[in-house]
Amino acid sequence: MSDLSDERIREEAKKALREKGLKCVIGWSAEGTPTFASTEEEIDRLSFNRSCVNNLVPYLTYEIRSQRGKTRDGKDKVVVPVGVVVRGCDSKALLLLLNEKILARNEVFIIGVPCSGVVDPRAGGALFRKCVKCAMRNPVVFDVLASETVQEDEKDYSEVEAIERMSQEERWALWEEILGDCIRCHACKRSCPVCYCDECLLDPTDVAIKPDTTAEEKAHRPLWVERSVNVPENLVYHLARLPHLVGRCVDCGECERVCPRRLPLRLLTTKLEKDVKEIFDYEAAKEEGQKPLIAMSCMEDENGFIM
Amino acid sequence: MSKSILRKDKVAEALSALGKQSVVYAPVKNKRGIVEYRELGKSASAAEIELDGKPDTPPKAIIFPQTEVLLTYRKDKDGKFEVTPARPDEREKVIFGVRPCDAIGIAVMDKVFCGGKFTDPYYKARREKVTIFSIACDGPMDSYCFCPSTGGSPAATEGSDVMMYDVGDSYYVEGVTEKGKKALEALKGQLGKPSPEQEGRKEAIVEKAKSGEGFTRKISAESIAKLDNSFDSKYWDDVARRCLSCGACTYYCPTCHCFDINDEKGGERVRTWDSCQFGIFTMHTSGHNPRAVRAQKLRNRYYHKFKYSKDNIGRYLCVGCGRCIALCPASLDITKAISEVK
Repeated sequence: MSDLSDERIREEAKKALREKGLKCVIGWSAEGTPTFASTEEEIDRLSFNRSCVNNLVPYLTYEIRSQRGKTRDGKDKVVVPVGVVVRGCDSKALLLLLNEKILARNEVFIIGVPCSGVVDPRAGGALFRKCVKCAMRNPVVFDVLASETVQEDEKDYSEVEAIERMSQEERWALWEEILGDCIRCHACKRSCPVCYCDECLLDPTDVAIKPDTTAEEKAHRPLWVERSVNVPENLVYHLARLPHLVGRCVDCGECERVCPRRLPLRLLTTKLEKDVKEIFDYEAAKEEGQKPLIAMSCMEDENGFIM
Repeated sequence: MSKSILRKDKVAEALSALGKQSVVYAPVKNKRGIVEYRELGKSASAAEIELDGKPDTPPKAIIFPQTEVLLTYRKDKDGKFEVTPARPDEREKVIFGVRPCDAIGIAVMDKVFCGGKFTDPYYKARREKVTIFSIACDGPMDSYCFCPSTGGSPAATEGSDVMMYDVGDSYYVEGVTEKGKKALEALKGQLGKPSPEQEGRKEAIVEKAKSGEGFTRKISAESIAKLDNSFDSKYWDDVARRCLSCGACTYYCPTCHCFDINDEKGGERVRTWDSCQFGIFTMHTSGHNPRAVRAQKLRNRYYHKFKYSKDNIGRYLCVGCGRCIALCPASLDITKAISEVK
């Protein structure tokens, strides 16, 4: 939040660049633009302030996974570690990826920045709504912290609770209107830090066909969502994404931030997080080494929604 | 009545006069604060229209909808297919309150869909029914605007049928095309004669537009020329590194016109918007993808906007509205990307 933390970010980034041989450090510029610094000179441009709105974790995943593969003699390619600057919410997403073994702890160097909220450019200088009351201001996984930790708030569920009180018909009308307004540009999915699949059943615009994919595999590729943009297809796209995010979504709000239609998508993810907490007593990315929710099902789990 | 005055307090009346012969679209603020074109009388009223700024969305979807059924087909008992072509929308339409950049966007799409060797009958049928009432801008509408860099201007008339100039409590109204002059005949009851002072104000807007005054965002012709020799530059890897390959820029672009055609469930052949940023866009059935990575996809968008289109249809495909900058989740900036080409 201050020049002091900027100095600390740069100092630690340079040190790690030298000592750990990082490929680059992903951070923000003073203007808040995502920046990839691979020299000390470029590191001097890194900063953290209230205009740093992007969750940088998707870039980290891309930088590391694009290095993966096999060498000619069949060995795993060596992954050069990558540095990243994360706020509290970003760090939760990163921890989830580490817990899911998508990224390995030794592949990342994490500079944590405690955060008191960032500014929504569409709201004329006001904080993002998600930042007004935030229960994840301090990074949960990091190698170094760039500044002192800050006070966190109780999570605010008031908007979700208001929807819970609605009748089924009212809720249907609400979501039909909101999701009917989606243009399916896929910004929400592409910016989601925990959406890392090469191919997505709900995204007909990207396929993981490779030169060695057989004709049969291509012919049997299931298509769950048509290219047509209309209410039923949009509902399938958004609502079928949710079960894939149960116990995984950390409610960082990136989907809502990037939406060019300004759809209140966090109403869905906050509800998801709340339900997971209430029904399964589980919180995504709570601690290192935590088992995924999906791997913890037991006979005692509530199953009223099935029968 | 080719030069006249429409008082602002008579705009609603004028819109209902236009609405007698046509369906009228105008910019309206939606529930979430996005200003976009809506059909008046159906989903919005004249009282709600927002004519003072640049609408958040271009009017392209009125002429080139995101989802369009081209034909339907059914298989009968004997296994024969019965094919029914979709009927074009035959209603006359007025799009009111278009900004010059967006009107140019439509003129550019006309070149693509109707200007060359091939004509797109679906686009053409819709386009022929459309009359465009534009409002000249008094300088840049926001910090993202850069139309003078792309061959446009805040008072450009290309693509517009009627031009309106905000001269205070009134609009100075001028028919540009025959179609526009004809449309103005329906407004005889609302239009008045301009005073010399109003004439003067209109001239001042036109002069200011010529000077390009007030625009801070720019792309120079020299940097565009550099594209000729920068195709293989490593520069594109750096620029695209933060691109997330979503389609926000292309879907909000007034000139992006790429589409896909699929046979969908229920026997419909549907045309939808496509985006060069999506992985399937250039995917071959063989599994080879000539533009597999972000840098190749993003470079293609920039080259298509500033080089291929110039070579093919004689004009940039970018109109300088700046929406792709304003909406990019990764704050990519086309003006910066082109200006810094190495």
